[in-house]
Amino acid sequence: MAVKHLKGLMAFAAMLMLALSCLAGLASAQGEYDPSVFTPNGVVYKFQGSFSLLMENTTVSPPFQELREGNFSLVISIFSRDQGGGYYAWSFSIYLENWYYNRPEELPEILTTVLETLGVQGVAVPPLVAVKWGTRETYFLIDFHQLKRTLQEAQPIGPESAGALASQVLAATGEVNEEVYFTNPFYIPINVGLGTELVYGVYNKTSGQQYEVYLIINDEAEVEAAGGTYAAWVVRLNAGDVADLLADLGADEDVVRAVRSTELEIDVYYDKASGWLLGYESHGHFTNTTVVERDGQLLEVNITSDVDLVLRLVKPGTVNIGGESLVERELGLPRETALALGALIMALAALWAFLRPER
Amino acid sequence: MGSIVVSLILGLAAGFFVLEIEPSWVGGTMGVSVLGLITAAITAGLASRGTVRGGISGGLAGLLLMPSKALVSVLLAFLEIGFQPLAWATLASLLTIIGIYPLAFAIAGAIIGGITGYLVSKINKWRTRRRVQYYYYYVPVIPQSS
Repeated sequence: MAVKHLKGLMAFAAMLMLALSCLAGLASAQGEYDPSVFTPNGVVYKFQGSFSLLMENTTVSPPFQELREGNFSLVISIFSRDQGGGYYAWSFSIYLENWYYNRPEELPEILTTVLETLGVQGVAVPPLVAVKWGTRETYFLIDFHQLKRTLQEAQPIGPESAGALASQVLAATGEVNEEVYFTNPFYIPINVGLGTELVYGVYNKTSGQQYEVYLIINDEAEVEAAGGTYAAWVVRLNAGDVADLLADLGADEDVVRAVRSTELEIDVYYDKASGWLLGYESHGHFTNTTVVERDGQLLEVNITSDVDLVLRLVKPGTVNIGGESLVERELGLPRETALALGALIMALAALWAFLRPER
Repeated sequence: MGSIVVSLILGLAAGFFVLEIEPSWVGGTMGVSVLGLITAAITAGLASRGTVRGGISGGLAGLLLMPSKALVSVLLAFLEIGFQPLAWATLASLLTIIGIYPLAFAIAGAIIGGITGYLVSKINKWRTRRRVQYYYYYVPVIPQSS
């Protein structure tokens, strides 16, 4: 009898080992990242921007002054699905909450149409990129060669042909294009600290071309996002840093010089527990002089411009922000409760098994 | 059939909650997945009370555990953000229910569920035999009058 039981136990242990080996694939590259970052669902960001551009010359009579200002507020949602082969396709929906520009007559008609469409019903973008599980490598779901052919054949004339063109573009999507990838800016590894270099880049595997920049985690902070306060890593950049990055990427010298002359501050916040992007803030201010034409005469004017862009996480969805899962956040129960509920259901099953009368 | 459905529901429910535990308690996310699968398959096997039924319900629990977890999360996320014009996103998210190592989970679930179902049926048979012996031992046999 004891030998029979021993055999049974050994068989059970062997089966468990088999089950574990079947699942071994899951272990690959999971140590570095929170697994929830590869499959975000229901993640919502609010992207707000405002700008002002003042051109003036008070030394002439009458004084010259032109102000252009505007703002917008976009809601961006992220969903994902299993694409197969270790890839997870991401799709986005974009909804324009509001926008304002003090000189709407200057806007191109096509842009006004797009803005109104976004404001009325939003736009759901189909999955165009796919994340490779366990990495930040993000591939396009676009066959660029087919897309190029499609665009060469199509001759878009007006807004009415835009729909047909969009359909043709979508026909070139669907399969993971392993030729080109970029590093996903929405998450970073969790085994990082102050001074860690984060790489952001675009890579072409076929040609070997690559453009990459390294940003350093240079601060930590408590950040308010998605109705809570989370410990975050901060990547902070100023105008000099941005100019250096542009120079490294081979940007034009005038552009680099122009950026260096601005007052620019960029902060990027990543959740320490999950590595997920909590927010992005940038504030830019610059002054310059230029020449404009008034009544057929050239006039030198001063330009003062301010630009603010803020991206903030509103709903974390299925991403384990702060180390908390969606169910945990929704039910408001600690994780011990989940274990207790699992054990309770198993006990119910045991009762069902042993107390139910035999047929 | 009814037994398999009940076993499957109980297995999925137990596995779902175990997938929610803190990964550091069981050595990481892989540990959570394995524990969730084992819990789901054992629960399904227990409730099914038979080797074949346990194998089927355990296999189905293994197959559907991760997709149902993903689906519940997606539905919760929808409830959280409310309805928005998400035609593509909805389709995309619902497609999350496919994939995620389905075969490995199904095989492992079927094996564990089958073994558990087998053990439960053996224990139940042993208990029945014991009840019968107890009955014959203690209940006096009344001699029939001829």
